[in-house]
Amino acid sequence: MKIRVISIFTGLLVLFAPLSHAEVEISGYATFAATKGSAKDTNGNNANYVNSLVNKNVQFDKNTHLGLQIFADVSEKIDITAVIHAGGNPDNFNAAAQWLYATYAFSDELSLRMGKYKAPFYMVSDYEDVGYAYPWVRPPLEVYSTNPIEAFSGVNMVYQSSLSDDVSMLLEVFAGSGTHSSSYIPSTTDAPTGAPYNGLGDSTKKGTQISFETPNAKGFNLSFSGEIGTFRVGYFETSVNAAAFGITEQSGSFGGVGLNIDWNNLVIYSEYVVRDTAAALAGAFPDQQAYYATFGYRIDKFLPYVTYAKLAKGKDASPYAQLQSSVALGLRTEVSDTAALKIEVMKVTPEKNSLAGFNTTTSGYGLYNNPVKSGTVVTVSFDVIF
Amino acid sequence: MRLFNKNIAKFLLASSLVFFVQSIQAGVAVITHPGVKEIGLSKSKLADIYMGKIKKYSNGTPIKAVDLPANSSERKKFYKTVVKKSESAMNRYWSKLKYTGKGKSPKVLNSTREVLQWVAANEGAIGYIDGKYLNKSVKVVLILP
Repeated sequence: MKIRVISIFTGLLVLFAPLSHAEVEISGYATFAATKGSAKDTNGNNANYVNSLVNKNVQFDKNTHLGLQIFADVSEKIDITAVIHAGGNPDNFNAAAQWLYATYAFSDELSLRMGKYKAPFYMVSDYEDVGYAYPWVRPPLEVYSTNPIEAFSGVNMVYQSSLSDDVSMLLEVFAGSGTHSSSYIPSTTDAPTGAPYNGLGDSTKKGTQISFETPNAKGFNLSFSGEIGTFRVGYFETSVNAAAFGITEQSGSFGGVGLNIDWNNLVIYSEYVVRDTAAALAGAFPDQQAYYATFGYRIDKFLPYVTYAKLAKGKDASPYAQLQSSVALGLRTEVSDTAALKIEVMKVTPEKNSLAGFNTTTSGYGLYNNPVKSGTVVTVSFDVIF
Repeated sequence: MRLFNKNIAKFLLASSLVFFVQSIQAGVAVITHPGVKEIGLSKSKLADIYMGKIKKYSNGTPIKAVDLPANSSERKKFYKTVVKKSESAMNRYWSKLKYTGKGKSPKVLNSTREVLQWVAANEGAIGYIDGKYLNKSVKVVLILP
């Protein structure tokens, strides 16, 4: 009897031994922001920017968000990571797992992740929500709005290696699928004649969200980092289904290059992206290209910066392409070693015949006859990590 | 009486040794587990270790680096003279990597005593402490005066 008790006890111990070794770490980030915009259409009515992200009232919720990362070291080779994110836009602070994956480390260099992850479409995709990590109040929307895909479920192979004493390399190859939604753009507009996408003429579909699936998504991200900065290049392609809009298996691709220099006191960020889609997708996701450049100079605790960004027509020169440029002046101040206060003033100018990120509620006036000439967005944000 | 003299002599010897040891080990001492046989842990190697760029010793043992809390003066000195980065620069660096699991910042322990105990107990461990708290349980690889 005694022996049996002991053996059961030992069995339990063996069973729970790995659990007791699991080390769980929690860390997080948060951004508290206030935004105020001012933009009028030619009729004198107020226009909102990026689906009410910014409007004429001071808003505290649209850019405010919080993330908690939970990391569990299950064994020497396996760990589990979850990032629980809650934000004012668009989820009304409902918390959801933005990242949730298990990592198996084949070696120090090579690991495989399985689960839900945010694909590395851009330079700062990995930390797009971690405001503390970059200078701006938000990554430049001209570039960061061109890929409407938020997250995938699938696999992601990560290879990290040192090429020399100073240069390291990161290669990610990923494949997966996902269901996403995007604002159906243009949202409050009149259809031009000869619309390539017939759904646009359907008034019941104007200004709605388009829900779409990306079943066979695959891509890569390659970056080189050294003492002075990082250079990256990435490419991604997928097929797109959107049942409600009669779209099946249409192809789309997205590519980009990026550069980040943080050397002595000089800070530079620049990216260029291209979106290329099949003709049937031109209504909801027209071809686009976009770029921005940010120059900053760190003076002790202050980082003043200027950003120029442009969203332009892509290869197919679709009449639905969004066209705008913006200039932003900002100042980041290190409040403590884990907190930064930022203020940014941005002037956004849509190009002729494009409403770009704006929408207007004036009836009978839309994209092609009543563009907003320009708008200003002021944002103050407080970014912390913990 | 002879016994007494012997004790005095021992006491004097011991105190002079203590004095000697303390005088060379004032400052921040970079310490490893006694089993770490790595040669040439230079400042630039240590910087790479604390930035997560080097993860193993040359014999293949995984490196387990630990930090003192953010407000500790030894930590400030270590990062300023070895890693050559400010605390906020390090935080920006890790915040780009850690939330997506592409890097893991060193484990933070609460006190010098915890660092000493942890480094002494874990194979491949490396840390830094105020030199005056050094003892034989760990190996000293570098003194930052």
